[in-house]
Amino acid sequence: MQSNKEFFMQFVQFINTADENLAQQLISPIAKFYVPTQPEPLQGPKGYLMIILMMRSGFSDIQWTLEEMISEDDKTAARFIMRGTHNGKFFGVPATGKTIAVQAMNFYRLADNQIIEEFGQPDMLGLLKQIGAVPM
Amino acid sequence: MDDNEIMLLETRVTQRKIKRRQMILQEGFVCKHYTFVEKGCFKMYGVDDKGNEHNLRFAAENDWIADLGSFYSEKPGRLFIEAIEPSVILQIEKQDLIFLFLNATKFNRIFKVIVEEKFIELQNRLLQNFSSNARQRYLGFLEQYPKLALRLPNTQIASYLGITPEFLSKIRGEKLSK
Repeated sequence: MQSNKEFFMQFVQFINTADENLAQQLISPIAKFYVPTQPEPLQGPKGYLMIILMMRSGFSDIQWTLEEMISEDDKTAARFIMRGTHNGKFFGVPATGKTIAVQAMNFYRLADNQIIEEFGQPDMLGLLKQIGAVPM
Repeated sequence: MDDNEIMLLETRVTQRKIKRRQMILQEGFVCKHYTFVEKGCFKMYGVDDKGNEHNLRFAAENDWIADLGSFYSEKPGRLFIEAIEPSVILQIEKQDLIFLFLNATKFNRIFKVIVEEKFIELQNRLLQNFSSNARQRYLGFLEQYPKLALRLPNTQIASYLGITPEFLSKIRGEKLSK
């Protein structure tokens, strides 16, 4: 469990910095990353970097905090809060300057000290509401 | 190295801890570092179209490892560098290496020797692959990596030699019985 916590501390550092070194260290080349906005899973470190850069293009200062996590065998469930400023176009919505704080519930599977699978479930409706794209 | 050179080097390298099976380089990325192995062991390998791994070389304590082609061309490479054991490494980026070359000429000489040694190692390995049988290649491996023969799993050595682990076991058995 301790080593899982250490791993996810490094993972949070990775998603907050988009560090290519950490991407290659922590994400398996065959990892599948399921996200609600993509019909097919993204693959490997490049898939993760693509999503982070996509989020940064809408929220240049976006940062994730790991609020809690539970691990069993090779799986970990984690709740994150992502915070940022909507200062770029996001899913066609022009920058509003609004700040967001949105939860994400993600399930991870680890093998050989790397992420091999993730099902990511950010609260997209909450996010779109907070930037005014959907009525509150 | 004198105190100034050591200080220069210390300010330009980054220490990282890498767990077993984690990678410091994956295919499709630019190799941005020369990596010095303080502790542990790494393999550098390529993967063919069928998904088979082919080990090019190993690096354990006090050795250097990098995909030099990618490092110098700054283009994405085809190689992986993976920790076989829990490891501690020191890494230096190209811009920092150039800084050292410009500010302490001794480093130019040191890194020239490192690259020359790796070139000779690859040259010997290439010749062995063309002209030697599996047993001779295994003896070449023992000469190149005398401390790794008992440390590496059979599968890793077999991948380096281009033979099956079963055939490697047979060669090892023959060598022991002689």
